[in-house]
Amino acid sequence: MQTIVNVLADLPPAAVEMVGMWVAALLTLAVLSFILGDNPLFRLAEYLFVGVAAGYAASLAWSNVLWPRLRLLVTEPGAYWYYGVFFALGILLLARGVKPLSFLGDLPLGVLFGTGAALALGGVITGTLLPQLRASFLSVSPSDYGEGVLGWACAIDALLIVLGTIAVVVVFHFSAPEDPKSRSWGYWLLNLFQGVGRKVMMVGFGALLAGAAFSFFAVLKGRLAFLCDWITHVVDVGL
Amino acid sequence: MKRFLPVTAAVACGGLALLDFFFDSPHIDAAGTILVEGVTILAAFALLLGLLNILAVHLRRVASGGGDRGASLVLVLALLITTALGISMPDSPGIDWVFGYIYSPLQSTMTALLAFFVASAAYRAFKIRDAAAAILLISSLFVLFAQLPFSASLSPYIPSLRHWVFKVPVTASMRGLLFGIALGTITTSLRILLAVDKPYARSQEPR
Amino acid sequence: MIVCPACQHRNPEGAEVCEACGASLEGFAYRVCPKCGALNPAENLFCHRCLERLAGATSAKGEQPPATEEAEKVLAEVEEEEGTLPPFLVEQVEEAEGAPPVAEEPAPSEEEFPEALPPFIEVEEEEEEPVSEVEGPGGGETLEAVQAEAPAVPSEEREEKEEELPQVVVNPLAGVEDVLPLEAGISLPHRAEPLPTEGPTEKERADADLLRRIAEEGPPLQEAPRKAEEKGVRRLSGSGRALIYLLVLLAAVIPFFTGGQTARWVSPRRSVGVFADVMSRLPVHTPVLVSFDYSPAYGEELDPLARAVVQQLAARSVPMVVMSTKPEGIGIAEKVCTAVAQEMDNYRYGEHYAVLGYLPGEEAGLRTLRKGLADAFREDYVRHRPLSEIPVVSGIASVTDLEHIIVLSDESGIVRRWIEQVRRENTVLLHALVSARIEPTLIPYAQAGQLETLIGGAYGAAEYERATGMRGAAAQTVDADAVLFLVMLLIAVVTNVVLISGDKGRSPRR
Repeated sequence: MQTIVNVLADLPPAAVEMVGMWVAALLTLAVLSFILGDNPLFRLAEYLFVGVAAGYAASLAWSNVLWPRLRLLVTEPGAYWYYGVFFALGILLLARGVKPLSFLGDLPLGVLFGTGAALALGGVITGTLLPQLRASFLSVSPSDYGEGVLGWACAIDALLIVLGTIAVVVVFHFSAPEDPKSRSWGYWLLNLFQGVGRKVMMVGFGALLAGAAFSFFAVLKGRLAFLCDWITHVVDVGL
Repeated sequence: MKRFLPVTAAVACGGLALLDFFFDSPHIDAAGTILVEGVTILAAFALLLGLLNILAVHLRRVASGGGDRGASLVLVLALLITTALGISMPDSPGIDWVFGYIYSPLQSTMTALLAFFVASAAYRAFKIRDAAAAILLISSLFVLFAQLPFSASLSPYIPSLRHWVFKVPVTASMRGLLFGIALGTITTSLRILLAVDKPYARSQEPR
Repeated sequence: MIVCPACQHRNPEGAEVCEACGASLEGFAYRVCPKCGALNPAENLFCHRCLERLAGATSAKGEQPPATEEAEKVLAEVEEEEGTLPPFLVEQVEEAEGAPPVAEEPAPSEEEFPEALPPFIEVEEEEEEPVSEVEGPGGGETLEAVQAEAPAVPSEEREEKEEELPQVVVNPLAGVEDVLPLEAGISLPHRAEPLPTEGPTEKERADADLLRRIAEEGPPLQEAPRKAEEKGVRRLSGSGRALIYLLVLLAAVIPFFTGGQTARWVSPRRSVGVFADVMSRLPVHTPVLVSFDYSPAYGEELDPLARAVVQQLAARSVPMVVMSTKPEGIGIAEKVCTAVAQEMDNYRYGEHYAVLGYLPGEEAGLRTLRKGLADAFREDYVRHRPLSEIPVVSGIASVTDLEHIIVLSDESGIVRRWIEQVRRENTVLLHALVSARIEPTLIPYAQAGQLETLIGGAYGAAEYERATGMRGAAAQTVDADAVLFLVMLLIAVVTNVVLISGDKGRSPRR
């Protein structure tokens, strides 16, 4: 491996870049070929991607996270004793891949899940739920926003935000009684909020759809620009 | 014991992390620091586990034959070469080359494909069957239009209207969704912390 | 019938190994509904699509396998919770959670996040891309720990496979679920978790029994409108789809011919202008943390924005600390920083900027970062030196010492984690530069002041370039967006003309 890398390192950078450009261009074309239908080239590209992605992530986890800590554990075991505990747990986690020993992985998973759940719980309460609730308590008094029409406009906006949010929450978490004969005020109000909530949600989903179209389209433009560069390069330099 | 230890570990670690999250005490802080750093170590091990799983699955496929045998072989080779390069020579230009000329174009182009699919999906989504569908259509087209550089020169009200759409209905709908996510996260977390759910102990569940 | 997770061969009920490939079916993922052909999770008693009782779950009372009782409870709970949803969302939840074609087509999985992460985290993954938790392609115990991420492609396959199955489309979002980050918001609060294995209580048994009876009766009230809706849905033909693809392709190549004619109209929004102004006034002695939390999937969209920001910081020699909470992000970070540093000789590694590396652990990782930078990163990514030996980082104990954090992300869950774990009540200012796809989902945070800045997508980059007076590439491609709008408008018109003409064609027969 070292020899191969040395040989590659000795190649002129322009050659390495040219080979890279060709590889990237052919892979881009292989993936784009999917719009014509599933085909072996695409499948190959797909599998290649999964292999490279898994290898890249795992090697980074080793070289960037585990290896530096393992070195510290070996060189200063007194200060970093707890790394020993977590490395042992990590090895137990790997045992999950071996069927007869998979129960050993439950312990480190318990640590992961327990800690993750606690941090998510604390985070979502203090970072999302409470601040967003606080942000929903908006004043609907025009005088708080300014004089004249502007104050009124802002107050109406605030009211709409509050009512819209409540309506969307109602859509998700409450349902009206199924009995259509029910004519209580509560039923009517709930139905009204659900109807409004769905429509408010559709505005949000419309924005999401537009955003998704922009995103994917920007990526497509980028890939086509790359292919254009490649073709220009091929025309200029030749194969 | 097989069940007791993981459950105890989950509840104890969760309890410690919660205490550390909400209380400011030097002792808890020290223990909490060790715990969260340890969890990052475990998360890194989890990536290794993922790699081993993929390897096992596709080696089995290669050994057992079948239509995707060749593709699985490519996957295994790609995985082994990338891992070897990344672990043995993390600073070599080799891993950068793989990332720049194989990983990036592949992943990026797979996303680019979605540009085509979002357009064909819009064909279904844009059918005006009821008021909600009409709102979806108008909202999408408006946001697409208002984003165009020259839309403001057509009418100064367009940017203002876009601002209003994002400030009022989009905020309301996304905030409603956020509340849903927040409540869901709270429920799920509490179930794990109270050991009602034990997703980490799947290996012992009866099949 | 049990579908082999390895080769998709349909085996008879009770098979322990696949007849075709010999793989173990012990950990099989799905059962096929004998009535409608839909794939159901193994523990389901009833088909999620047509409510038919599933084979293998029909053993007489008293003979139920241990898992069946449990499944009944799960079913009872799922049904109970879904009962609280309005019908059009129930549909969506069913479609999102059932996701049969992904199971039918177990693409080679990008098994990056094994079950080491809690389920809510997995769901947040789902939010971003069509992801489904299926057992790995080989099935079996070892794969339980694997969350398979179906690459972008199966979404189309899913669409095609769906066509083979009876379709019930009752919501206006039909067809776009795969491309919108909606699943988490809709399905998360209703996600069914495995229940403890202790036996069900009497009440739960009674509830399950009641539910079974209701399910077996069928939903007569909903049947009629559903069928009526089905008629209104006409699938896009092969040639129609090809035409749409061609139009999108043409729209994307437009900038090569027009050369950014519309770029002169690009005008930065207030938020972009304010951000550019903040960046231009940063003190040259206070480091800024930049987290490259996006993958190459959205590199073409976010790279221009990242490069513009890093360039602006480098031009003023503002110290910069770079990291990522995604493995792929750090590769991008290094590439962008190296390219900018090569352009600017006086912006040097170690002295002015440092790449710290990849931080795993999601919530736990960010929590570690908050506690201490040196706890999160024991050494830097480029030179492998302890942080205390890197001048630009040595003075920073924790991220809370910083004034500005810039998060470049393509996942709303990541930005949310930064807000929840790092920012909280702190005075640190969080700037999110994100993919346009997730920008709307973060608006509430920006409105609440939890995000100082929220800039989305490639158009954000064009606006930023304009606001800072830089000459970048982003503005040169905006012409295509106008054509994209025209394509979408055309699609909207055509689909409704087809819908109306279809209705007219049918009306005389009514």
